Amino acid sequence: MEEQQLVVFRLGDESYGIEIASVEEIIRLQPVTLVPRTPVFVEGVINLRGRVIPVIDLRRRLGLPAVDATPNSRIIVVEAGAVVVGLVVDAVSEVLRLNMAQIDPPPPVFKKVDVAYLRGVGKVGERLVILLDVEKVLYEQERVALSTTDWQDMAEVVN
Amino acid sequence: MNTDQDVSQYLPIFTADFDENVEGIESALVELERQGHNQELLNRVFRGAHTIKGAAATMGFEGIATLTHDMENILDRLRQGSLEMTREITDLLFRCLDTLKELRAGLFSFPAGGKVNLAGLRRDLERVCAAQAGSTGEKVRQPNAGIQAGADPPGKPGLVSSNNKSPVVQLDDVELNVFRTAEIKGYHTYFLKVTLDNCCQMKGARAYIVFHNLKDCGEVIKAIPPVEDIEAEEFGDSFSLVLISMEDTDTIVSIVKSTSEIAGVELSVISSGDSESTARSNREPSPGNGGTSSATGGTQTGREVQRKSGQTVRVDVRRLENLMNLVGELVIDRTRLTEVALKFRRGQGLGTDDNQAWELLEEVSGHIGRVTGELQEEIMKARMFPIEQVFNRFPRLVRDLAQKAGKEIELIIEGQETELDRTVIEEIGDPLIHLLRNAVDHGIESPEERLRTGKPPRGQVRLAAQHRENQIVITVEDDGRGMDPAFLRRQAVARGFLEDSAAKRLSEREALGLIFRPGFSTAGQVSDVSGRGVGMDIVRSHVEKINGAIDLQTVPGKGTTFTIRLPLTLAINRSLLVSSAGNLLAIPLANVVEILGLASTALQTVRGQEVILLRGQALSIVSLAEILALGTEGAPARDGSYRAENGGWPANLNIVVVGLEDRRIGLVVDALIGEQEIVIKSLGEYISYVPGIAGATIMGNGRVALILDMRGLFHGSELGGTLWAGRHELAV
Repeated sequence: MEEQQLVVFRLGDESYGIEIASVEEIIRLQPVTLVPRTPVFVEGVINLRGRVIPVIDLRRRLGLPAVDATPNSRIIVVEAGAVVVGLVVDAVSEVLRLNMAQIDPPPPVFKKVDVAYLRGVGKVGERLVILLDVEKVLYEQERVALSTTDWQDMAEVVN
Repeated sequence: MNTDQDVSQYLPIFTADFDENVEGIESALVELERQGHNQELLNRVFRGAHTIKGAAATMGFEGIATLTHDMENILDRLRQGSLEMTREITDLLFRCLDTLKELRAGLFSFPAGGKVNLAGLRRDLERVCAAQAGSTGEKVRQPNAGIQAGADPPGKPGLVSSNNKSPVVQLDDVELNVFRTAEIKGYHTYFLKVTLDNCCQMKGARAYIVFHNLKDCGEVIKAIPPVEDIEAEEFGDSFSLVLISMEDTDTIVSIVKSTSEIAGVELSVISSGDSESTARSNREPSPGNGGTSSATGGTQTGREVQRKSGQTVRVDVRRLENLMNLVGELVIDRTRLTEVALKFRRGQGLGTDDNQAWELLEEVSGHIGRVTGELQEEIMKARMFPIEQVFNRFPRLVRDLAQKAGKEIELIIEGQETELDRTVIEEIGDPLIHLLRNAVDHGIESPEERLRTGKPPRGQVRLAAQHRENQIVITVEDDGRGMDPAFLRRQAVARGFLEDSAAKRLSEREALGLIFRPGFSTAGQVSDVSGRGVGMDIVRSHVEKINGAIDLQTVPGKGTTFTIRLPLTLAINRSLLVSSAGNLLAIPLANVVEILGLASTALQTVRGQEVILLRGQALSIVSLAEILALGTEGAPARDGSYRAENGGWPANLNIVVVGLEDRRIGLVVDALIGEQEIVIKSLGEYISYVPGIAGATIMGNGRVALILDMRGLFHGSELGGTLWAGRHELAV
């Protein structure tokens, strides 16, 4: 049976997993430079060894309540398509092997998280791991938002 | 037309070659038309057509192959003198080029090939051949005479071994380079043939141990068979390698023999011998395969190709050589580092004797520092291309334009070897075309008019590029009728741009600047005296987009000179660093007009907008934090929020007056940090374009700072309309 390796991390009480192949590295939180006129879930940009990469607040992106950073907070640097993006998570817990048979399709509504971003829900013993679709997390519905940004708001501000 | 999957991967290379050759043919033709018959130019055109034909046939592009074949026929006859170069033939050849370009454009459309009809053109070609062939006797055809000579490329450079019995080693360019550098530095290069005991069980592992041991005394730059094969045990009983080392023969033999199960070692010293000259000649482009004239060099990449494929970049061979040299140096340094490590291991590290490891280490690290510095510089330079790429299109353009306008014009091009950043090259073409068109259409007078005013009937347009300080200066100069500021003033009033009194107050320079204002003279054909300025606003915005500036000087009756100043590169920028709401921001210095320190009591309100009076003119003042909605944690700021949070304007305002074209605005920032050269980095594809942000840069402390883009910052918002104070409106 086919197996998948997942990087498992926590957001609040839930465990989430993303496929290990799309994870480039995991780094500690670092000062983020705000970028104005971007969607709210874009925290800003950081310097990753000379490369400027955007950082996304995954809680905000998934519609979860915001919390303060803790010493356990990490940035998971993922690569999807041609883009490299950092995802801020509460903590990274482990790397897990998951049998495909243990993955169920996402239920219509799941723990307040927009199911559009989910690939499924994996069962590991008694625990549930929510599998995120990285591409969708980055892009679903946001291509539009990213290109138009808050320009309307901006116009109001300056008027 | 037959475009298989197989050839599509070669398409970028084909089109790059194609464009280069077409460009070469075009410039040779223009020159040919000017000079009349010239065998060398004819040869150049022929070679170009021939190269295209060959490549197109290989790719299966029949249309291109057929047409170039027909061109060859005509050209060959011209070379042999059985046809005479007439105006008709030149025009026909130009038509062929245009058709070739169409065919090439068709390659990218679907279905491939497009629908270019060759029949008419081919008939005309045949007719011209037939018409003149009748009058002159048929001469012996010498097909491809120009391309055979010297087309015998020398083989790969071989290296001579001191032991004539051992095989000659074939080194590729990189290896050769390392070898040569090593030789200069006094390292020995050895060729080793290691034979393993035939009862050896794990040959791969044995070989590995040999390699490993040798690494302590030098660098293995080549293995035969390749290392991967050796690791996979895909070799017989013996393998060979090329080693660079300081050690003498005996030491090396003993190192190899220290491994068990080695049956024998053959060692010979290799020296460059006469391979040096062979190697050099090999690197020169062989005359047969290029088809490019020496003038166009090897660094061209068609602009179209870059747009469409963006996959191939051509780099000057000499530059590549230099890069290879530097990499060679680094490889040597690696060897020396190994040496240092060895010394430390042997305990020769920290004593006070000569030639201690730490001394060597210091030397090596210094050397690496220099080499990497140079490497960086060279790589930056590899982004640069000669402006020739853009200029090459212009002789044809000016010829066509002049012909159409019934004028005699000589185009003089200078400084085409001046190098510019790729991005700048891509953007500068259109504005230059515009300026040249203006010079031909409006600047230069008709031959009759020129004669009347005592000028030679043939007008001159001079296009020149040069390096000046840290900028590239491009000038487009004509000896035409020039412009009259008084006339421009009148026009501005007539077209309702300015009040009469305001127009009178304009300085001469400001009056000339009027032509850059949108719509100033596009509204219709103005009189002959000032017809310039059609679309000059577009020219200016193009130039400013690449951080350049445009200026003009003119003398009525004598001519006009447009001067474009461009930054050497767009990758580095001088900026003013400011802080706003706790954020570090960079404002390109090109946009900074002046910096003011004012008390907030100086602010006045005009129609709801805060302004100050600066030298008698109103200047809109806005808070940078507010227009960027900074400091409000994600949620966009509402009007005045930043000021509200901070209890209104601070008592003392730091105002950076920024300018875009002739508009000005005052940005209030928290603090001025200083001026700095910054390297521009993109925000990445994910965030892509953010209005008002040109990119990011990494500061000394590793933090990222954003670079502001004035155009985007205010474009599209109401600011664009009301805040930007055009000097002239306010002067009214």
